[in-house]
Amino acid sequence: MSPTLERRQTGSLDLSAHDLSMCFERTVGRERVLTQALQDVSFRVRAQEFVSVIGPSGCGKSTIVRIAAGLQRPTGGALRIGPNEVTGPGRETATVFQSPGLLPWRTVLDNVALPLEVAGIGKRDRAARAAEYVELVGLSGFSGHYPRELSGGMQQRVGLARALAVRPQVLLMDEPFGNLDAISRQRMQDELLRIWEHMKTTVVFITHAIDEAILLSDRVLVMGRGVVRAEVDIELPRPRSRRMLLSDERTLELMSRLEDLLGDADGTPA
Amino acid sequence: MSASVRREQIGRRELLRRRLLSRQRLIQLIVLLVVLAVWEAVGRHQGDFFLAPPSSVISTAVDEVPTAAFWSLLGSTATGILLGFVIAAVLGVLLGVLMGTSRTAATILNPIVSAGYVIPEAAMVPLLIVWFGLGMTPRVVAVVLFAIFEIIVTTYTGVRNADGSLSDVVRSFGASRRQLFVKVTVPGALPFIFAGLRIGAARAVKGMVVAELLFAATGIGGAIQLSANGFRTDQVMFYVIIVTIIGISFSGVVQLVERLWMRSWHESYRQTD
Repeated sequence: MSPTLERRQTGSLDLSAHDLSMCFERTVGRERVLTQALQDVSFRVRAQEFVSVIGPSGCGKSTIVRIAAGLQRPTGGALRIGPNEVTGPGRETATVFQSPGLLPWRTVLDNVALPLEVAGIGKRDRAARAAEYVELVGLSGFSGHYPRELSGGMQQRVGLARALAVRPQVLLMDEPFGNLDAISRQRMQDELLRIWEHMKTTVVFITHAIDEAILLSDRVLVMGRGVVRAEVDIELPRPRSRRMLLSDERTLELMSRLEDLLGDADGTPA
Repeated sequence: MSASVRREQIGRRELLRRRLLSRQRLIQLIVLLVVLAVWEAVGRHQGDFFLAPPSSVISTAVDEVPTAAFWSLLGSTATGILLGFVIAAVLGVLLGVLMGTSRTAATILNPIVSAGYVIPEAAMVPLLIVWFGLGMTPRVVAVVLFAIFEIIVTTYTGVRNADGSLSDVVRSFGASRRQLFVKVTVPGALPFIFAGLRIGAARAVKGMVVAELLFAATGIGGAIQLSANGFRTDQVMFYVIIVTIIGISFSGVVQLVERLWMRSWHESYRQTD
């Protein structure tokens, strides 16, 4: 198993949603409540493309990640990674969640090594690989630390290193910086930009922050009430930096356009 | 990185000094001395029959401890407690884990465990005598009954508690059910399991003494009964203290095992050292 994982390239597969629907059902007293989280959603994220999905909370954007990660089966349609439909958790994807979800009894290094352990990679190989990704996210000096000894931003770096260590074809990020304070958030965005330029993996990035989506993405999908309302290409040069974007007129244009679309997405009844 | 963490080793000697000579230890010692002094004063005033003072309990201890009879009582009681506790621990943890991982098992076992949890086990002892006679068996069964439900319930709670958002994360990496169990559920549940075992250990001691009291002729519980019948409050006190010592050292051992085990793999235990 390990050689195939070792050698393969990241980001060589695309992700596509075909009429994806998700309907949650629960019973409240004598009522059956059906929530349509996704309704015939179709889109495609090209290999090595960075796509953000923005939308108001409850618009179904997180459900897309859960389906892509194989944690939930859609009630209709299909989600494919490359040619294959996702039917359960697989090694093609890795997910960074909003809460870092680190195992408190494992050190930073052991947390990053966890998915490799699950994949059956030998002890020495996984320690070396984990160390490599701990370094990539700038936490070399903290390998032996426990999660509680780290700040929120550092914990989320560990979560990122853990996902990257899998060398996923598609990296899924579900509001990964949503719980961070403004400064840590900016640092993590810069860090992600740097790492992504270097790894060029396919990314689906869920967020509700417009500036974050513009800074990071090639394309932004605007969602509202379970459907994709609009797609906006972010034609800004790469490599990008926050400073560069601030002095570019197109940024402002994009911001107001996305702002409008988001307002529409929120207001229009489905 | 804004924060840096420094680790320094504390010397063994310093550690020992901190533990033995802390402010808390001093306060505890003073309280103990005050209690003993009051006890002594009241005991001398009221006489041995009503409340034997510590001095006469000590002289009883000096008489009793060297005798072979005392050690055989102690041995029989301690063996029963240990045997019963080990059975309760193994069975209890197994059943708790089973209930935590299988909904069917939980459905079947929940009412039984809830009932067992509230039954006054002492009331079962006469039945145990009818079923198992007067040997070691009924006493061990009594210990098991006293200790097991606490262990089942805490283990069950721990296992259910461990399967939270963390399992979603680990599942997303393609972990099998077995991997999930070994890597998330067990380590997550361990603090609960050990808490259950600690309470179980204390309850095992209680169970043994209650069973022996009702047997009237065996072990330390039996000796308490005999002493009470002879109005020897000094002996009653002495045996109660012996039971207390057994109980404390027993849960102490469980706690030690917990510390040693968890130190290597549960972060929260590093702080308390």
